[in-house]
Amino acid sequence: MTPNSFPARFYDGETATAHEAAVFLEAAQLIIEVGERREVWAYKFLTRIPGAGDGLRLTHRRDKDAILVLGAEAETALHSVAPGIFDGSRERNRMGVLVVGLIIVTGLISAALFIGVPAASEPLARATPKDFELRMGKNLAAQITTIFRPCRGSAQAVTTLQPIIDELADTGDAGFPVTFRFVHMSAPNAFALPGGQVVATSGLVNLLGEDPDAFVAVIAHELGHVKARDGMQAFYRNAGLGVILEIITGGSGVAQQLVLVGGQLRQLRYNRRQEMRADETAAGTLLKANMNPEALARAFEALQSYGGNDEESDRKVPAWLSSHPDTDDRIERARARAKAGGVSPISDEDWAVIVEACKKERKG
Amino acid sequence: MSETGGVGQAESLEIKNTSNIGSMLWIGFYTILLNLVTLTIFRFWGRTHFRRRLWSDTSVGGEPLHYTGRGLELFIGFFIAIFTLMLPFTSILIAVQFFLGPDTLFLAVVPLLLYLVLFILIGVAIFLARRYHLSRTRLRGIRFAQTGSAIGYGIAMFGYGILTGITLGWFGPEARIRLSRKMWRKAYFGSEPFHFEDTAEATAEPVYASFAVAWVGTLIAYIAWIGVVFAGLGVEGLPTGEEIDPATIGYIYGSLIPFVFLIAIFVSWHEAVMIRRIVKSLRVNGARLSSRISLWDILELSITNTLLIVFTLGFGFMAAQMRLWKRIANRMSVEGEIDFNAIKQSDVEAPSQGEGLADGLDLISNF
Repeated sequence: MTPNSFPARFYDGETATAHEAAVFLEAAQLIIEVGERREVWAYKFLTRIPGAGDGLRLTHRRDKDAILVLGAEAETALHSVAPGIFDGSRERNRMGVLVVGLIIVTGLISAALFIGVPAASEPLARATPKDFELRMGKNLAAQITTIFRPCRGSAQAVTTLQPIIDELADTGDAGFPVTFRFVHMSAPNAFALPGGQVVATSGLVNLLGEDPDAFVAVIAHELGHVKARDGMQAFYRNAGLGVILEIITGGSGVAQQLVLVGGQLRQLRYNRRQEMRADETAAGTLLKANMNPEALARAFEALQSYGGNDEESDRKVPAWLSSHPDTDDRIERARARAKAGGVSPISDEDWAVIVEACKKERKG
Repeated sequence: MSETGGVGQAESLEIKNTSNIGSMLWIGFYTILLNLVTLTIFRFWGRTHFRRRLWSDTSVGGEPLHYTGRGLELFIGFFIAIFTLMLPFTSILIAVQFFLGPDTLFLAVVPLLLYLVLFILIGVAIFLARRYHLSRTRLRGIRFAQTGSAIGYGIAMFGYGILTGITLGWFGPEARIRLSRKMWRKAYFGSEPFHFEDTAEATAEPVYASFAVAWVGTLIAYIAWIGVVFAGLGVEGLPTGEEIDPATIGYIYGSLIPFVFLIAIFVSWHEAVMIRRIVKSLRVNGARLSSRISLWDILELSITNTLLIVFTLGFGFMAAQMRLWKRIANRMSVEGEIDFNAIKQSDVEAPSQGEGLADGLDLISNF
C-alpha cells in the first residue's frame, strides 16, 4: 500500500458480499479498488452513514446502494486531505433551510386559516343555491333532534307560533320558509341552522317565561341570521378550517368531518359583525311589524343576568351571546331603536301553550 | 474480487441495538418544538431523523442497518393521500348533505359505505407503510422489499377484524399470525425471500393459553374491581351523576390500580408469547430467527415507558419506542447462517413516496 492507500471494506450494492478493497485518498476524490474494479468517488458527493458498526461508513449520492467502510487510520487521513468534510455544516445548513421553509409554509397556512377561509365563507354562502341550503338545513336539523330531544309539546307550540314566525319572516324578508323547533336543553339558547331551520331551547322559554315579546324578539334575531345566510357561512368556515387542519395534522378526515357536520354545527358561532347585523335586522323587522325593539334589549338583559359575571356562569351563556362580550353595547343599540307603544304579537293563551310545551317532563 | 467470508462461506449473525436514550430524547424534544412552530408539519422530518438513528444503531452481524427514507417523501406521500382520498371522502360527505334529504335512506348508507372502505383502507395503509419502510432499509448495501397486494391485505385484515369481533377476541391471535404470515411471505432481503414457517419451536409457544389467561384474567379482574368498589362504597355511595364527590372518584380510580397492574401482567405475557411466536417463524436464507423476550420485558417496558412519556410531557415518546425496539432486537438471536454472497440486489421497484395513507388515517408508527 502507498502512504495514501488504506485497506477498506466495500459493499458494491449488487450483492451482499463484503469485498476487501484498497482506498486511495486524493485531493478531491477517493478511489476504491476491488480487484480489477475501480470506483472514483468525489468528496463532495460523499455522505457519512452514522452507524453502530466499526469504522466510517460512506455512501455516494450517485450510487446510493454502495457502501464503503474505512478504518480509523483511513478516517484520520481522510480528514487531513479533506478538512471539514463531515463537520456537520452541510446538515446544519439543510436543517436551517428546512425549518425556515416550513415556518414560511406555516405562515401561509395560518393566513389561509384565519383570513382566507373566513373571507371566502360569505361569497360561498351567497353562491350556494337555495335548494342546496334548504336540504342541508333539513339534514342538520334532523341530526340535531337525534342529539337534543324535541319538547313534548313542540308540534303544538310551533303551530301556535307559526303565524307570528311567518309574519316576521315575511316582514323581514328572511328568504327561506322557516321551520321552528323546540328542544329540551336547560341552557337558554336559540340558533339558526342553514336553510331557515331555527331551534329554541326549553331553557330560553323558561328564562323568558314572563316576557313573550322578548322571546319573539329573539326569533326575529335568528331570522336575521337566516336572511344573511349566516348558518351556511358558519358551515363553510367550519368545514374549511376542518379541512385545512386535517391537511396539516393528519388524522381521519372522514371522522372529523362527520363530527363537524353532525355535532359542531349545533354550537354555531357567529362573529361580532354577523351578530350586530342580525340585531339590526331584528330591530327593523320588529318595527315594521309594529312591535317594540325594546323587547330585544330585555332579552339580552335576561340572558346576561342568566350568565352572570363569574367564570363558571360564562360557560352557560348561549352561543349567540357568549361570543360577544359587549352585550351592554347591544342592549344600548336595541334600546336606541325602541319606540313608544308597539303591539304584543302573542296572546297570553298562546304563550301559555308554548310555556307548557317546554316544561320539564317528570320521570316515570 | 476478494471477498471477506469467501465465496460460498456463510456468516453467523448477531442482532444488536445500541441506541441511547439521550439522543432519542433530543430528537423527540426538537421534533415537538419544531412541530409547535410548523403546525406539526415538521413531524415528517422528525420521524425520519428518529428512524435514521434507530436503524443505524441496529446492527446485524456487525453491519448497521441503513435508513434511506427522506422527510420530503413522507410529506409528499401524505399530501397525495389527503388529496386523493381524504378530501374526496370529505367532499362526498358534504355533498350528500346538499343533494339528499333527511328521509333518504342513501343519506345514512353513504357514510356507512365510506366507513366500510375506511376500515379496509386501514389494512392497506399498514401494508403500504411497511412496503415503504422495507424499501428504505438497507443492510450491506442491499435493499429490503415488500411485495404482495395491499388491497388483499386490507380486505384480509378487515375480515379477520370482523371474525375477531364475532368471537369476542378469540380469533385475534390467529388473525395476527395469519396477517404476519401474509406480510412476511412476501418480504425480501435483496433477492432472498423471507419464509414464515410454523416450526415446532414457533408452534410450541402457548399462544392460546396466554390469550385465555389474558381474556379470563381481565374479565375476573374487572368483576373483582366492581366488587371492591361496591364493597367499599356501598350502593348508596356510588356517584349518581348529579354530584360527584372527589373522594369517591379517587377511591374508584385508586382501587383500579392493582387490577390494571394485574391485567398488565396477563396481557404482557400474551404479548411476549405473540412476539416469540412470530419471530421464531421467520427464516431468511439459512438463518432462523429466535426471540427470548419475556413477560417481564414487556411489563417493565410498559410501566417505565408510560412514566417516561408522562414525565417528559410527551417528548419522550420516541425514546419509549426506541426502548421497546431495543429490547425486542437485543432479545433476538439468529440460528444458522446466511450466505451473503448468494444474495443479490432487490429488483423490486421501490415506492417513490411513503406511508401517506397511514399518516392520513393516524396509523403512523415511528418505526
